[in-house]
Amino acid sequence: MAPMANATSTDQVRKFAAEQFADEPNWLRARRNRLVEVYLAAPLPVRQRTPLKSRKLDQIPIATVPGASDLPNDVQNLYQVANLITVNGQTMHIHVPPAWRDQGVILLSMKQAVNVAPQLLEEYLGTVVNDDVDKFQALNGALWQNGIFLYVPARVTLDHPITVAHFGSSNVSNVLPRSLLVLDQEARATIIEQYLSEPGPERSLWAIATEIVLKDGAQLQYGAMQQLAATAESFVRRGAQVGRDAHIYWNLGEFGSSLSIAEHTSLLEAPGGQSDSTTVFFGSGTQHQDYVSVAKHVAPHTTSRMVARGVMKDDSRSVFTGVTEIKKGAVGTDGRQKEKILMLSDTARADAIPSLLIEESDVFAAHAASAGPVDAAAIFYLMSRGLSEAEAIRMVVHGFLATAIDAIPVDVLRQNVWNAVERKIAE
Amino acid sequence: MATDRQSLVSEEYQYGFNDGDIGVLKFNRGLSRGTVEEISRIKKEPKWMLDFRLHALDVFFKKPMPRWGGNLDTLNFDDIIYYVKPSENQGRTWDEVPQAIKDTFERLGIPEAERKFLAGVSAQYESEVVYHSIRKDLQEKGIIFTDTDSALRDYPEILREYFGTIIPPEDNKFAALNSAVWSGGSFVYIPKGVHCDVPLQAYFRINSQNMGQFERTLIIAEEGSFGHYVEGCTAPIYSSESLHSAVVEIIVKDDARMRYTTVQNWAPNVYNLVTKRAVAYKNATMEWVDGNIGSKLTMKYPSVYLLGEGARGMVLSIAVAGKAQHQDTGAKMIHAARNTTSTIVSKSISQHGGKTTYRGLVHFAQGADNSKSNVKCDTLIMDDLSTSDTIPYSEVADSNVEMEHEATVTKVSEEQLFYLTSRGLSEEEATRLIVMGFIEPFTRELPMEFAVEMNRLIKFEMEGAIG
Repeated sequence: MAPMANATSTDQVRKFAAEQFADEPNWLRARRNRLVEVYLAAPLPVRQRTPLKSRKLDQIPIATVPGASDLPNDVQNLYQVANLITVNGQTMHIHVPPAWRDQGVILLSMKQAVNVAPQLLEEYLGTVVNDDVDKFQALNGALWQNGIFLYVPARVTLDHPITVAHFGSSNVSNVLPRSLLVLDQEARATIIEQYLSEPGPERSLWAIATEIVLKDGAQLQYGAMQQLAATAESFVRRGAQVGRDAHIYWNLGEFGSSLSIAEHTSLLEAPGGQSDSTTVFFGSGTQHQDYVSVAKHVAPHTTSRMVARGVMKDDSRSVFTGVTEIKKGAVGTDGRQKEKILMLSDTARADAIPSLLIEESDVFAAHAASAGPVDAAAIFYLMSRGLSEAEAIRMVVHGFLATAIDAIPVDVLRQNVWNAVERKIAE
Repeated sequence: MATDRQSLVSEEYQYGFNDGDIGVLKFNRGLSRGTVEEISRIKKEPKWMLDFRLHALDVFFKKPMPRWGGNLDTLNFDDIIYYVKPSENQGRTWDEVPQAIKDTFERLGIPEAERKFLAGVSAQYESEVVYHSIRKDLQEKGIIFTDTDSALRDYPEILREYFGTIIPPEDNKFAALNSAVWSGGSFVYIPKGVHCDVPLQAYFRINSQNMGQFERTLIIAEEGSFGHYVEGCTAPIYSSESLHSAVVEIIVKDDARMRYTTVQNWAPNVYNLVTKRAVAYKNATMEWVDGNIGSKLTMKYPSVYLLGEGARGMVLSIAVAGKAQHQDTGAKMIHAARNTTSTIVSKSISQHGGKTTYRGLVHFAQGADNSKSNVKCDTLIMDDLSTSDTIPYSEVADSNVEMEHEATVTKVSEEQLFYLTSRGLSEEEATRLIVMGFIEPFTRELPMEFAVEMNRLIKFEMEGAIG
């Protein structure tokens, strides 16, 4: 039997890239065209524990422009607070506080950055995340639509969090957000990216990329909330290049999407760099979640902390791979991982692979991982105090996630994560 | 500097002598259908075994080389000699063993150890077991301890019932290779309710250059029985590689307990690619005590399939990797029944540019309710040339289980060193003391004579002395 034709032909992809980005500068168009070919030539990525072939991802049309759609209330409400909202890859709203502008902060949509800040864009785009690494990363690199571009000048501290929302409507087939955040020396900022979508009649493909550059002494609180609809299939790659004494905080909440594959890497390439990473995931239904968290220690005296907490319900499946890599010469490095999984169902499955790859002796590296059920004694106790079983389980789940979620330093994000947890428990 | 004071694995290998070419029959290099047929013919095997071997050979040719773990690029299957017969007959008394081979084992201290504390001894030289003995009183209790070739002749029913059922040739490329060309190894059968209180020991020695040793061990512990099997391995040093690829299958029936202890000290030019697996039934206990000090590359992950309710599995291992060595070792625990428990304790030391990898799996199948697993991996990196990877896989497909895993990678603590040297110990003594303490959970579990030997070995290697 002949294989079914891809939903989108190679010619369509090439034509789309040529037309859509015709007004972009030559270097960017050349870059996109090169990555179009990488995308077309690359096979599906191989995930050891998450089969992709059977999902027939090539049946989802790409290189399409969706029609207009009404915004749901959730997103309209975001207009009050969000600095940037994209809908189906188009910028719908952007707000830059005048005080920031006066401080020299450049906050743009990526599309705007192409014209307004081309030098910065050209200098950093694709330097943190390697767009050639696999098919869906190349797809993002080739056809990325929009996202946030942020440059914070040296020694500037943003006084409140930047919030970004990426929304996909029910009729969209592919969304490819891309963000680039550059914090100059000793700059400080907090940013939250949210991904939301409406369930549609057809599946949608999300390929998401975020690149972060922290110069010496800079600090970034990066938060992300993925709450895509069950008809979405998402691939996410994030990277942070961490300068001398700089500090990246990752706070990632992974809740939505039918297939959710995400990877984030802290590259600690200068002395004193630090990475703190917290991932909270909650699987339900038939969700497949496959997460990779990497702390790569290249320079001496760098520190990483990696925490993951997962709750598994129904027939969901998850894989969490933590990688603490300490390269030769990274003396005095301290890298630690902690992974905990709470199993709520006998038909769920959770795999954890907390690996340590060490090439240096003068270091400390450790990991701890555990998985277990809801403590029957705790449930019994709570029920004996008059709670229903469902309420008791809810409280235990809360207790399990609290140490991770309550440590999220940004109020809005913390509340968002708790709300998502509540929805998942109630599902 | 760390490198100056710490010298845990010497570049000198004390068992590196060879006996010259003393075999009575030696195959040409390389592997073909003919090689397999010839081995089977010499051994006068029944047809089912020849068919098993030929099928396994097909599987071996079909399976690709593993691309994970250690580097197998320089392993050339065409360079290996697949069968060497060292003597005409197997000795029942020590006097019957050819002088040259006897001298070798005398140097390795085998007969002395037998007189002292062993229940039975088997000594394999190249492809065949050259000496075999078992204490009479144990034999009278019905314990069978013989080499696997003899078992195929003398106990064909038992052998055929279990052989290849725990590790089929399809399991992996090296299990397939062993299944095709296996020779020697031990067959142990402990009848229902019988306790074999003293260890049975097997000793494996490779002598020829480019030798491939493929012993096949099968152990059956009937209901309520107990046994302890100990193996040791050495080989001479040659400039080209030898291959040791064993298969060990163990069946531990209801309420039985089996312990399998390995002190692997192959020469640093031996590829040690071994598949070891046990199944444990209701309330049975399987324990692997696994020490890996020698070899160029070891890839070995002793596993226990916990198939019966209440079964217990334990792996206690140490790995020491010195110059140009890679110890890619670990353990697998498959929880497939209710109330099963497992413990893995792994201690790794890498130095002089050596590499240790802990690679392990804990799997909870659906229905393994109320099962528990605890895994602890600790690594000491002695100098800045050496590396270590820790890659534990855990798979949980049942809600009512508990899995805990902990691992650390550190160097020898400056504080401990400072304390000990302040009490008058030299830095070398202090380091040795810390390392001994680090591996103590392992040596504690060895039979006393082995523990003494182990301590001597480690001490000797730390000093970098010549034995």
